[in-house]
Amino acid sequence: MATSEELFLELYRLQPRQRAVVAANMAQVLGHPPESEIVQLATRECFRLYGRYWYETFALRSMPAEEVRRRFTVTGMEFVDEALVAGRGIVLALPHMGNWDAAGHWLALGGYPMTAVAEELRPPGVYDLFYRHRRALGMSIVPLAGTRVAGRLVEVLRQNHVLTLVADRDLTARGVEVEMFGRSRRLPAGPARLALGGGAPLGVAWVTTTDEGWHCVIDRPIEFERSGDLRADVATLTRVMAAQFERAIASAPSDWHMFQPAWDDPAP
Amino acid sequence: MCPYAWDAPGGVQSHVRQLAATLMGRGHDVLVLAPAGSSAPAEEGVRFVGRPVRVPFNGSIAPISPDPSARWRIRGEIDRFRPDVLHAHEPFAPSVSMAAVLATTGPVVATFHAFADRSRTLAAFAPVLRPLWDRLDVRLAVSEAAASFVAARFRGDVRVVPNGVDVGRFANAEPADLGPGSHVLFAGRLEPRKGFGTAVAAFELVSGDLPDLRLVVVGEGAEHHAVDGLAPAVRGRTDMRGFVPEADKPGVFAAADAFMAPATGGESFGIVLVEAMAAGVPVVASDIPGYRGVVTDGGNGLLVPPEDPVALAEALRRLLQDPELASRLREGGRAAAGRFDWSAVTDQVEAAYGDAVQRRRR
Repeated sequence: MATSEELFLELYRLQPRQRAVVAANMAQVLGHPPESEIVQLATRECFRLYGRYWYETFALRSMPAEEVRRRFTVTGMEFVDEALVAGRGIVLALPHMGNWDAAGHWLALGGYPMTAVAEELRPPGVYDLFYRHRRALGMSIVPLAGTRVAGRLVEVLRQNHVLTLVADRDLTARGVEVEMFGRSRRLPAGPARLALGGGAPLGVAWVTTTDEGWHCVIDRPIEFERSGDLRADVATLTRVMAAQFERAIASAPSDWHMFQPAWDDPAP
Repeated sequence: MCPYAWDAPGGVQSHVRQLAATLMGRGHDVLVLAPAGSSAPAEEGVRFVGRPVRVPFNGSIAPISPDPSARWRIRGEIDRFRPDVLHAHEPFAPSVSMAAVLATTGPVVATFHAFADRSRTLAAFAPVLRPLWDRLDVRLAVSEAAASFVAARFRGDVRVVPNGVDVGRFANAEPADLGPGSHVLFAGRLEPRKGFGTAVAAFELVSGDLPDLRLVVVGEGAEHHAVDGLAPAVRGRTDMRGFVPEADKPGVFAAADAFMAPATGGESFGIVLVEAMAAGVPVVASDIPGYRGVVTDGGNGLLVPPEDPVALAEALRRLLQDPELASRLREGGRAAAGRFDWSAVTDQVEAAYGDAVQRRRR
């Protein structure tokens, strides 16, 4: 673990441009200029925690179940239990924070029926192989491609699954415009659409790194009254999700693995 | 540079071990750096740099990532040995190889083995790993499948240099006595990914038409119960041999009349297929990317859709009832296996070393 972290700190030293991308994101989150000491420290920490996450993608599979449980703490699990008792599944939207695979692994070990939506599919020729990591961790996967995806996911909710989506980046450019940390950006409409379509609650969850493992926070599902206008409802729900993401990221900025520019427009 | 514990079993370790031995046999000075547990016996030409970290896993070894002090030992070993070329296996694994690539200034050749299952994660990490990639002068991958993962994420050529097999050991093996009748062989871990259930179902389907055929199974695993569902008469024609020592494998292979490899996917390279071909056994394999790089359908083996016992049974029936086809595939297989012999593979690796050195001179 420590070796991987140190190697990533070396990668941090080696690439000023990548460093600047992360520093620009951290500057927006922390409200200080990129060259300020606090932003520089947070940026360095981003690389260190990224190294830890990289190491964990190799190590997690060989980690015994009891060890994963020992290293994992969670608050808000009652919201998932309540939703599953109600029987319509739950949509959990996560930012790229900490190690979300560890959280999925933990849920699967706990016997929760869980489905993860995979956001990337290329190259398609090697399609069947890339799930293996998450499958090995006990999750079922629905790829985010093709025309029947929404229908399959609604079906998964009907089977009372926990459906997780990493949703802090809009890959389609058809997302909902939201404000995060005082600047506008886009978030995918998928979580809101699925929750509204499947009648399932939508909650935000996030994972932060602890000394020895991970801590997961599951927020109370968003309370929401439909207006009857689906498009407007999707936008409203996505904006509430953005506000909760903001709170999550602010609580542990360096745990946000955002190595691309998080805001497209140039900083004001 | 081997990233995984030298004293743990694994495909990368075995590749590094055999390549190093072949290179030494050709007169090269070779030094292998690898992490290893404290009880690993010393070996000539191998230096252990760091122990695989035990602490995080409460006693169970994660076969990766030596302790941090290993980084300085790696640097020291490289400075003392002063290699003409540094060959890093799996350079992105956060361990010895990655540390060595960052520590050296000389020519670097890298081999990507099986990153298939981390493709999604690799995609996200690619921008951060780029400085590491840029330090690789020549990039090799053990199969088209392995090459396509990295090629999709990074700019620059990736050459396919296959895994090596000791072809002679299989080609010259004395066939073992498998008993009367003809024999179809399955070798591998008995788990769904290797398609053992499909193999058993296919055997059941052909067992009526081929009454003297027996199923020989080499390997262990949770799915060994798959044979328990067979009708007693058919079950009696199965020979579950369990674990077979490496030294006895060539003999068992050479004695078989057909070999089936019905893996469902996730194989980045079909070593076991090459071994069967070298032993002169006609193979039937599933049509998956990792096997397609080895088997040409109808030329040196037969390809069938994965997880399709009926198609697998049909191919076996064709093969076992048509001696002309069997003999053609046997010859094709022997010829194809030659490409994967360590001597042929090492020629290509040596060429890569030369190119890496040339590239730095320019």
